[in-house]
Amino acid sequence: MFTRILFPTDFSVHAKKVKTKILKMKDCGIKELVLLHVVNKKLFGYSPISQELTINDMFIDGDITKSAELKLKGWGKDLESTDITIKYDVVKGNPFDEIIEYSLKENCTLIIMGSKGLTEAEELLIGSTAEKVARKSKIPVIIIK
Amino acid sequence: MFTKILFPTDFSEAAEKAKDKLVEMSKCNIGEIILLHVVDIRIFSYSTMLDIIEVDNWKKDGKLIKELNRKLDAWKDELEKAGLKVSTEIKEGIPFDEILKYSENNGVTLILLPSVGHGVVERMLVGSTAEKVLRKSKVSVILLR
Repeated sequence: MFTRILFPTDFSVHAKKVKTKILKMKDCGIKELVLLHVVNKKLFGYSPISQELTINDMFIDGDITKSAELKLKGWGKDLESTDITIKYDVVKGNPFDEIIEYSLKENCTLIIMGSKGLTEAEELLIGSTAEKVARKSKIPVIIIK
Repeated sequence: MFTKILFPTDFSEAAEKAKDKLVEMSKCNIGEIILLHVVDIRIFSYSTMLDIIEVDNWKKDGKLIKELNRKLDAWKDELEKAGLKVSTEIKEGIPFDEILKYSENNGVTLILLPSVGHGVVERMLVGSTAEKVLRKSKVSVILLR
């Protein structure tokens, strides 16, 4: 169940918490960890990388993907270890659809993600993307609160 | 994350599948598992056990509790054979509510939930408890399928 884990991240504090949990899952037999960032077609989710982009860049697909790729690789550095292969990937679209589709296409065995993302309110217990993924996924899902 | 896992079961087919998945997770350095059954005070959910309940006296002569303990112990045995540390618990109330209360009052680190159904009917029958727990839990959850 833990051989090929999909970890979708939006670089939020909640995603950061997931990282610490993964580091504690050493005994679970993880072989491969896929870090996925979905470039949200609805651009308002981009506060964490927007400092590296001008408004004009945001509308050029190539640049936002490249910028997200760079960010993702830096962000995932501390998960790298000798026993686990890490793959970084950036796709574009609607986060929840893309996460489900990616999990199937890439034969992932488990999805692990934070309960909320960047745009969700503090008092909310679960965000819309996490809830939709938990409901619609065909594979097991861990939601970190 | 796997220090104290709460496994609420209604002995359904979905819960049965979840149990098999839990056995798969046994190498994950799991601390302890609490097998919880909530006696649904909205008795109508006991259709499968109606022959032993006799609505009015299910509490008085303790037949239901005896039968539930027998079932819980059988599940406990099975999980212990996989090398897991298991205890059992019976509560009375509305399942999702009792599950949330138990997890918050007992330092549970992860709630294990069987698949939330995809179809409308399925979701009404199997998934409503899982869905409410997913939404309202302050503790991390794993949805198994």
